[in-house]
Amino acid sequence: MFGLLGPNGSGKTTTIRMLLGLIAQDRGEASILGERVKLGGSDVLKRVGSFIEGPGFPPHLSGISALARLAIARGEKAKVAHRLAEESLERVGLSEAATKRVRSYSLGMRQRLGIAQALLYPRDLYVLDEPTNGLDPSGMREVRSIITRLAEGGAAVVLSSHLLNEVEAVCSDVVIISRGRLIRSGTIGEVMRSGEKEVVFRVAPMDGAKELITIRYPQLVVEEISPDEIGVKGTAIDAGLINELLVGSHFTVSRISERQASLEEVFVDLTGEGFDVR
Amino acid sequence: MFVEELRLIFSRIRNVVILVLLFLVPIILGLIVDTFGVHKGNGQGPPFFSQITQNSAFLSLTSLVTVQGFLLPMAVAFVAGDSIAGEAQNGSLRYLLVAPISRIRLVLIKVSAGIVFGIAASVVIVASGWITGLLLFPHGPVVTLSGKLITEAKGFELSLLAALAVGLSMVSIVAISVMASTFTESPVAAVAVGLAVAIVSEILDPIPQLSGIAPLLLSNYWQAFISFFRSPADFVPFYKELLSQLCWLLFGLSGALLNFRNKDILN
Repeated sequence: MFGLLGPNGSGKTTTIRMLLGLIAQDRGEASILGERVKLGGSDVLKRVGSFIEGPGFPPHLSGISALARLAIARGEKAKVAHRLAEESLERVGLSEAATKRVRSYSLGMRQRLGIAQALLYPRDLYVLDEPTNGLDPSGMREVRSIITRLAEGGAAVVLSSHLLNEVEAVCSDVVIISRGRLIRSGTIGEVMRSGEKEVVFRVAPMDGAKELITIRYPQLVVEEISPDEIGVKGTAIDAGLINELLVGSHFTVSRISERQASLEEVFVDLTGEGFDVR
Repeated sequence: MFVEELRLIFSRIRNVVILVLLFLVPIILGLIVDTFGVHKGNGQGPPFFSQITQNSAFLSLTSLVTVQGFLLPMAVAFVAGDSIAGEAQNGSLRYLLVAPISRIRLVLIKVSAGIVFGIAASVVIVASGWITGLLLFPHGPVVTLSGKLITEAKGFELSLLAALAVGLSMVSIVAISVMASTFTESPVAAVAVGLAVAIVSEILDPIPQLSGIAPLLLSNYWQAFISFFRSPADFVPFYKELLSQLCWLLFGLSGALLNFRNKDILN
């Protein structure tokens, strides 16, 4: 389970569209499941289920026909396609609305139909772009559990999302991109550790403690955050060495607490707080 | 997938309404002629028009001529222009392509389904024409344009053939509308292009100064089916029509494929 993160306009969807052969890349090549993807359809896409920037179905078709049509496009016989569509609708809780026209579906129902579309067959890889958009909290949970089950079934899942806690909760690996460039990749743990952390020392007396740390570790940000606490911020902080330094200089350290930045803080830190979309 | 595409077209209420409206044309035409009669002036009016009241066979043919000028091209452009652009607009195009289906195959399916719709629309008109004709006017052996008599069965057979010919005369418009449809995300724009090309062709066709290039125009042989009703039936204009439509089909198809094959699908 793999999370694709990036601010708006960073190129998440563009990357996904390239991988699925919907748009051409200026340079280089796109491959998926080890096979090169050509613009205009490659057979490897049969092994990939995808959900791209929201649902999209002919509004005058019923939910079940809209799905069956995609199965038929893939080469299934009409009968098989209908059965697959039926099963898929059941998985996302849309059986009741199967014969209603997509036009009459609510936003959340359309979203579910889009998810059902990705689940039409068992596949080796699922590429899901913002799958929980527009869903109510229980819908989100259902979709998350569907995704987790896919991964448990042995499929690889690429999940692109703005919802960092969602990614943090379900993904094992993440990639962070910004303005079309890769900035971090690795397991969730690695990426989080690469972010800043803050260590707070309760020190007495306070006089001179801050200066002592600043002189020894000029790369760290040292602040007095309360009358008896000093906060040290930065990457690669060794709390033990700082403790030794303080104790060696006759300061009393009565507590050391460490706070790891959340994925959200790491994310904002890496991609900038700016609201400008380029 | 082709059958599925036909289902998509014929399950759409809008397209069914178009067919129903076309079905009404012969009925309205028949009722008008039955009520007010045919003014035998100086032979003006569409071919077959003056014969409508003489034999039930002629209503369907007159209707074909009437509809071919504008309503039928519009109906066909509606379906074909919507084919790719409509899917792009409602977002279903990307899901079709990752289903996956090859882009070339998708275009071929869209074009052939459009052609079937054109033929179906023409058959609807002929059928409605026959039914109305039989109800309103005398039936029996059919007088051909050359003045000879043919049996009613033969007349029926020839008018079905005429429906096929008129349907196939729409191939060019289907191909051009589908081509336009691959260039835009707005179905209306693609429909407009298809219809505009048809109308321009129809306007240019009768201009004497342009008679040299007239055979190149897509509407030049549209009325080839009228020669079916000479005796003996003359199919040569129809063969020319087939050739002309085939050329336009190749033009539209290659334009559509060249554009769509490498197009970035952004919605």
